Amino acid sequence: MYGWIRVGEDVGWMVVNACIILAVAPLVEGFVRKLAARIQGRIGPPLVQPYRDLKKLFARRVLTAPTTASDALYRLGPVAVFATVLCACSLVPTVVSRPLALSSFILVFYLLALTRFVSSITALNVPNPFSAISASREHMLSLGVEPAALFAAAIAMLITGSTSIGSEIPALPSALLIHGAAYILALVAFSLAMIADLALPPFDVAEAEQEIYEGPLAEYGGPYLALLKLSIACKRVAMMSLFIAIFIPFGIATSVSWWIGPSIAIYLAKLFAVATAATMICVASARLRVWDASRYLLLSVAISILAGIIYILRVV
Amino acid sequence: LGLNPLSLIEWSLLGYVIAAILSITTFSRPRAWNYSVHTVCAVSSGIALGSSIWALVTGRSFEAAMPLLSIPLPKSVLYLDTLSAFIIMVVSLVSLYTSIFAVGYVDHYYGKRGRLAAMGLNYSLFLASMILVALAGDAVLFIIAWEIMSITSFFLVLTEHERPDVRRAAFVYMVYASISVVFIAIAFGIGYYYTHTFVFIDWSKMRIPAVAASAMFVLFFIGFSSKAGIVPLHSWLPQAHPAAPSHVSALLSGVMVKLAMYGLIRTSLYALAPWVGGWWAAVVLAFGALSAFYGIAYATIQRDVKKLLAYSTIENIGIISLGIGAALAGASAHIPLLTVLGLAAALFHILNHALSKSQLFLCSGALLHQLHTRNLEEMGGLVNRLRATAIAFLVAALGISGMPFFNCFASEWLTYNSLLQTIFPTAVNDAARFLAMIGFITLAAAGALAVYCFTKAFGAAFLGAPRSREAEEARPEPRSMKASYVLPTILIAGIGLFPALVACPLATSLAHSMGMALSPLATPGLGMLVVLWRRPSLYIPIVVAAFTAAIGFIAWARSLARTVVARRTIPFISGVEYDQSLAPSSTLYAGDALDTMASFYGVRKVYRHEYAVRFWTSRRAVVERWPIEFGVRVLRALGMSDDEIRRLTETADDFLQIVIHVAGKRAIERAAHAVSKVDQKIYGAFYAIARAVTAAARAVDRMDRGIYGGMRGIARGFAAWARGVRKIQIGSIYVYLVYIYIALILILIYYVVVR
Repeated sequence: MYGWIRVGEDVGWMVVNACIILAVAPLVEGFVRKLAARIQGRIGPPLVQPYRDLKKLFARRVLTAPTTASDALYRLGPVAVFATVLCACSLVPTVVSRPLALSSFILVFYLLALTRFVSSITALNVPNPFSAISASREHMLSLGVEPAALFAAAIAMLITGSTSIGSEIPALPSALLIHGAAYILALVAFSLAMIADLALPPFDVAEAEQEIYEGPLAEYGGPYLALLKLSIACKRVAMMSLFIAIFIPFGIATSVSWWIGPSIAIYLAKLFAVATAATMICVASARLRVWDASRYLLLSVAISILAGIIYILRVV
Repeated sequence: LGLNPLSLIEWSLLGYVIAAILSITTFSRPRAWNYSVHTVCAVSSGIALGSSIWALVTGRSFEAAMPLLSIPLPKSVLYLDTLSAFIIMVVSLVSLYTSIFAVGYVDHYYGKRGRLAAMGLNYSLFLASMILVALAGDAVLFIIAWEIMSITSFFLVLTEHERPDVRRAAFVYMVYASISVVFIAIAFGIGYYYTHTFVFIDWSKMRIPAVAASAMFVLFFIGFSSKAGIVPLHSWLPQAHPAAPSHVSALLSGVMVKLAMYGLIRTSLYALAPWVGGWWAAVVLAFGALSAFYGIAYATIQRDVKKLLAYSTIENIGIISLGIGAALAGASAHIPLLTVLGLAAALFHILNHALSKSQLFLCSGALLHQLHTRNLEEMGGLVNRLRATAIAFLVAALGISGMPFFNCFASEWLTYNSLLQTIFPTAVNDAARFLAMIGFITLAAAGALAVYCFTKAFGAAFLGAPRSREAEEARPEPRSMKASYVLPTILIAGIGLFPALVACPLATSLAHSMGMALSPLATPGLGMLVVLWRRPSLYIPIVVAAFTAAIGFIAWARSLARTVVARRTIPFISGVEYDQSLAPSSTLYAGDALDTMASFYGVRKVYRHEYAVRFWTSRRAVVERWPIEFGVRVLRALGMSDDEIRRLTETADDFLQIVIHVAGKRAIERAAHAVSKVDQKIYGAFYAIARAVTAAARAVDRMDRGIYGGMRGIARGFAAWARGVRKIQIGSIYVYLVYIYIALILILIYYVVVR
């Protein structure tokens, strides 16, 4: 039987993961904004600007609210969105390969789906058509993201035959000899889906500021807006971290040891590398239309199916 | 006294019969009828529930001779093992609270006494027959119970028989139910041919050729999938389930279709267990994946709340089939752990879906009872008026979308893992592995769409502003309805938080009942089941964290909520003046599905210019806000009299389809122009409306037309053949004497030549 001590440890690591992602998320956003500005030849905001924005928003008082069906839902909505995002974040391994068993990445995706559920309900509660459009676009995107990402991650798990992150590293080279092509295709499919889920251009169809005024965010202000913005940033970092944990786990600490120090540095390096790549794509392209984004995501689903076929037939 | 779970369940069957008798004796006094029938039904369900749980706890199987049938048959048995006890538990659990709900719901039938008698009679016999189907240990009893179930539910669907759409729905339902029983009976016949016994629980110990077993599987699969609503034999389901009274819909969707899944499990995984082939799994997985996606895709674009729920049932039947497919793959490759895992996933999902879906149908019944409409566009803002229904609907919607912390997530999770365990071992045949992969991807896509679908349903019904006078003036629901929500709500949340308490004992006793020596929980490699039980590294921490987070955040939210709202603002829409017509509607919300998957639904993409969002939203809003009004205007412009129009609006299932049928597309566009000149306020929108309405009306279930049309073609062929046969039946005794004479001569020739 599973000991309560282990449960306590896991809860501890969940808190650690959530805190790390929470702390890093605004920094990553600042980094993306700064980098994008530099590439476009602007100076850009300072790296810590998102922290300042959040601080300012949290200090504000909420004096106005739209006429809604349920005021309680209006108030609880952003809090619930943030809570579910935080739950998902807590399960994503960051510097130590705990607590997520590799086979339970499904739970992370479903927690993010729960976030979508709550945020859609919140969006439909305010009588703003842009909120509804934004929420429905998010669902259309997820229709492509979820199958591709889930199955690509599943293929990675099947190939390494392991159920916990980090422990597959020794087995990886020999597994890659048999299933190298499938693994690489799964990696490609997952990264395509992940990029689409980052809410950055060209996939910011649901948050499009110039078009639908960030959807539900338009009706919120003060601490509520800060919570929603923080949720989006956290979800972004959680997706990147999940990609890192599943496909490039090298260097992650598997237990409490001196290696945690270097592991933090390695994690941050990988995170900012992924963020840099995402920023490059973001700067180089304009926002896609909803159905073009869906078509693109269909491609990543197709790649993951291809990975599956190759895995089953054992072709290299 | 010799009391055991099986005999107790027999007593509960007697209780249902008493309810049926009460129904035909007390219907002249409706209130007495209502309370007596539904109380007796609820009590009987309670007894059946208790005894099935007792049977599950003992983990033994019970057998008894069926008293009435033992005279004509050599052996007719009632059989209760883990599988049937579990199904009976689901049936009686759901019927317990639907009977409570019915007390508050059926009062609008009080005026029609004869209908009350029939409804009570059929309702109680329907409940009894479902339990009897699960108890049947031999084919004859099974078919008899199955037919009682079909016929009573047919009459229940037909309750509001004055409406033509209800009559059509009931007819289509009967067609599919008949197909189902024909195939099942033939399959049982083949089994009897080889084993010389109807007692199918003994078949696995006898000899059946592998080819015959495979043929039986195919027949069983067609028969049961026609009754379960697996695509492509599903088209009765979205017609019949909405047509029935809501407490019956809850039973049809929540329970009855599960009995078909039970039949599939009982025959393919138990009776025919030694002969399971790898391609059986592939077949079940393929149709399961198809149903899962098809069902939820059509559910998303429905406006009729009960139709939406019915399509979602098709999705969930698909998910259950995926679990059964994994179990079949395990049986064919001789991996008992996979069999147990897949079967546990399927049964667990049967329970979870039964809870959520019946609750949702009860909520839709409350909406129908209070608002007299099923159209989501005519609801809105009900969170303040029907608070209990809103909470119940939200919990059940969270459950059925497979959200973590709610029930269906746990079983979908088991299904995912059983599919992964099917892909992994090379012993499973490649077709099954490939289709398990497709099933996995489809399940993920269906999960994403389910969130879309149920946020739409909840948002459209309960949030936003009221969109009709009924919604504005809705009165609170009766007390019995509120009472009926309590049990399922608790169970949905309870199972969601502690799934291992149900899933693990279930898997253990399934393993025992399948004669496995091993305990699945002691064996590593059983995926999630082990994780759930031995290493709850997922669940306990999540629950702890979620509770902590929830408490912390609620405390914090209260402090946030203390902020004084000094001013109400109007929504910000790019600076344009806001008016009510711009508030989001459910079709606006689901519009992206119609647009993005236009080719799937077979509709033309109407809106190309995404960037004209403001115009786009206003058009969508108008389209769906006043569909009836618009249709009436079009028909008026076409010169139809008001009387005729009223008759159409009263009888038509989908008024707009009728309008299009009557007017034709071109005429509608012309009329729209004419109308739009009259109504300057929404000028220009109407041309688009005409096109959008055409598109929406085209997005009808394509397979419905294909399959049902095909069957009608076959039926016509048979009729033509029968007419041809009639030609030789002249009706003259002399001609028949000639026939007999010819036949005798032929027989003589046969004997002379052959012998």
